[in-house]
Amino acid sequence: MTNYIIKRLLQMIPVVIGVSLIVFSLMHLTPGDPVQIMLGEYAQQSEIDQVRDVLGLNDPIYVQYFRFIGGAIHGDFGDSLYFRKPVMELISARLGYTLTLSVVGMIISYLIAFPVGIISAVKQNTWVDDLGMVGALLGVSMPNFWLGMMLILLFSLKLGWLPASGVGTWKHLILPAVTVGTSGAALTTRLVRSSMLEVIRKDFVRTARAKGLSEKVVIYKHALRNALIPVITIIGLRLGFILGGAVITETIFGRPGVGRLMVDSIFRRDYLVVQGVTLIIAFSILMANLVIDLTYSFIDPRIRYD
Amino acid sequence: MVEENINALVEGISKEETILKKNILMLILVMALLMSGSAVSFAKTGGTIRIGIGSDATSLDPRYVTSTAGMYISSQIFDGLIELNKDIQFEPGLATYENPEPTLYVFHLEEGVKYHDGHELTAEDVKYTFESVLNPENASPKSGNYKQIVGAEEFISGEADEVVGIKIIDDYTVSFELKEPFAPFLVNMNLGIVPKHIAEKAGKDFADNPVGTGPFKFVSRIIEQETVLEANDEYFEGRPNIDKVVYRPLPESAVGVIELETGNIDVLMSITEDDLVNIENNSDLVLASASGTNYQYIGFNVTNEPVDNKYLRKAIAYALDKQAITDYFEGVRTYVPLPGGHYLAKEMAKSSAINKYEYSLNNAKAMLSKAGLAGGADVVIKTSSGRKELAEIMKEMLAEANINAEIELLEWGTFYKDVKEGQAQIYLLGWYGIIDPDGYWFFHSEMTPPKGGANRMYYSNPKVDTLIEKGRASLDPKMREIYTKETYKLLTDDVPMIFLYSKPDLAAYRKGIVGFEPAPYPVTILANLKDVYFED
Repeated sequence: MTNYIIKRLLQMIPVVIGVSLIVFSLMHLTPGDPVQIMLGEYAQQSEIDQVRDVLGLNDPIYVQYFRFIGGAIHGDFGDSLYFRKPVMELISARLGYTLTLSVVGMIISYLIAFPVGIISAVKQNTWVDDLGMVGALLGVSMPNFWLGMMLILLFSLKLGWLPASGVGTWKHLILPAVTVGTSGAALTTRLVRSSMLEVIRKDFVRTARAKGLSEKVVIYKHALRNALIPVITIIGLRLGFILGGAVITETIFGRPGVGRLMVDSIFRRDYLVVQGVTLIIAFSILMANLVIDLTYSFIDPRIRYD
Repeated sequence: MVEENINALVEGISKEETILKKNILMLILVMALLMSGSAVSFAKTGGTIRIGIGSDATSLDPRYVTSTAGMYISSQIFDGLIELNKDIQFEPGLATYENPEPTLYVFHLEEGVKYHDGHELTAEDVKYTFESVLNPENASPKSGNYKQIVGAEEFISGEADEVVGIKIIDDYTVSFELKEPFAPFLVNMNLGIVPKHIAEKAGKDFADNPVGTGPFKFVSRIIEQETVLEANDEYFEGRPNIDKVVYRPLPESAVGVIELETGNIDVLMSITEDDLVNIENNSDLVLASASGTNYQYIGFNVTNEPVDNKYLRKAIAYALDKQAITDYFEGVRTYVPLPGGHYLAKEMAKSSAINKYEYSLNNAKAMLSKAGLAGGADVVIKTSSGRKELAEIMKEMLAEANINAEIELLEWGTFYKDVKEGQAQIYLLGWYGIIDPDGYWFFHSEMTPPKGGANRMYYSNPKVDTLIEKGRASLDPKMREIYTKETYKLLTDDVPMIFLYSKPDLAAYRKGIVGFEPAPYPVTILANLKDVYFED
């Protein structure tokens, strides 16, 4: 197991370097000068050049890249051109909000997806199944910005139960988490359903039923555990997706988050922030996938990492 | 005796009358005082005002503030030497000024003004503030505003250790000497003054804990979450009525309106046209609207074919029904045929020599023939998503005049780069905060990229250059007006751009807040925040 973890961690190095190279090149190839954006439209070229010099943006690209990577190894991604603050400080102030939103959103999506997916599979081709699948289709079809606005209109404006925006209390988290969770729930419901359908037709389930076990035990102890592998796999893949989806949700609900910071920084050509956030997100997704791979052995004891 | 008695009686009566008159006068005075006192007591103190802003400030340090959000917050923490009032007129701020010579401005600081840490403001702070803006190591976006000061260029290039044109005369007097007379000089003298004893040591960290002389003191800030200020009890113009100000960035304007409607915020500074209906139909809300200092325009790169042909540009100007465009945008945008909100714009708008491209398809077609394009012309309009709808309207209108327009929609950064580098025929852009008639940045040939400035039309007319130079060097308003009008007459004839419309500057607040006055950007309703109070 230890060897496996070390091997996986070593494999991450070229991936992270590859990601850093791609994002670095893309940002520098994209038209638009961050200093021009920073100094405004009336800035003269001499002023722009002077500031570019101070910020090291006139150095050759490879020098800038190695300076970035050198700093990143020590956790220093440089200073944001826009906020004039260390990138790490900007990210760490927001990461908690994005992770909370993503995790709570994911929990909500699984709280919806598991019961609906299992019932739909068990009651396949009945009206219960149809209802579950129509619900899933609706969930997938509703864009986050629309759902978010509808939730705000109902729960904030009409009923006055929950705040429309901001952060601070658990109440502030409900609407954005439900928004993120709903679209996730729809996809996961279909996945749980199809995975369960596959498993409940297998021989060992028939055997469990033949042994006289109750339907509850058959479904929850035998079938569900075996159906979990693809569902768990998707958690790691969905993390990146949820972080992406969180951008819109964070904007609607006025939440300071990493996703929103990244998108805003792309438009401002704030290279160092974009690079920093991308690397951290890439690293988080790689780590999440590693953790998920390791959990397989707990869910299915037949899986061993030697 | 009788006479004496009568005299004494008359005297007595007149004395009594005098006493009575005095008493009445006293009574009136007391009443007046009481009434004025009661007026003052109406201004309730206390409370927290929560202000929704579209995006968060990039910095609170006035030397780096470029965004509107930054200005909303920073202007409450810092004061400038002079301030702009709601009518975009200068009035004394931290100082009064005199202009003894055309190139010399002497500022007399208010004595006894204290920073939030208790230190007194002196001329030393003023010199430091402007020098730190000009210091290239600080990369201030405002350094270009002060290059007319004697010695600024030498200081920037490192040839001098100080800006010799900024002289400390005594603790409360500082003078600015300019290289030549420069009429728009005062426009940039409302820069917030920072305390040398703190800012010098703190460096770039000063923005994290800004200390100024303004009506409100900095308390805390969590970027993109909230910024909190509290009343400055020692403010030199009197303590603000409000105790605390909380700024909340709300990037989604529709959510901002809901937060205002539900009372979670008291003021909303960023309003889009889509939000207006909800605000106007809500009796709990007040809309503050002031005619804007912004301007939207259609620019031509006059060096690129086919719009290098002046008559084609004129044909386009005639083919666009500017009033219909304004009406399409539900009347929110006001068609003003001249740029900006400066003191000459309205007056100049009346001139038929300047404002002569009234919508006329016949004139458009005539101009097209004159351009040698009687069979029609093909043009490309470049725009970013914000002005896509305008581009589509233009396309329709131009088609009527046999001008086929292709729209190229680009992401903002790419679009702006293309325009600046001269890779555009027709482009759609806007100006904000135009409060001075100086056209140097936009129309002078020296301001053509890559040299700098905003002459993205690549327009060059020596006569216009001369008129602009004379205009900005004229301290006599009458002469300046003449030069400016002549400039715009030539610009109207050359049509490097079509001046289109301006949008009102909008803000909304909840009923029960007293004292806000509508004012355009960069003043805004927040200019008099210190006088605002909550009604019972």
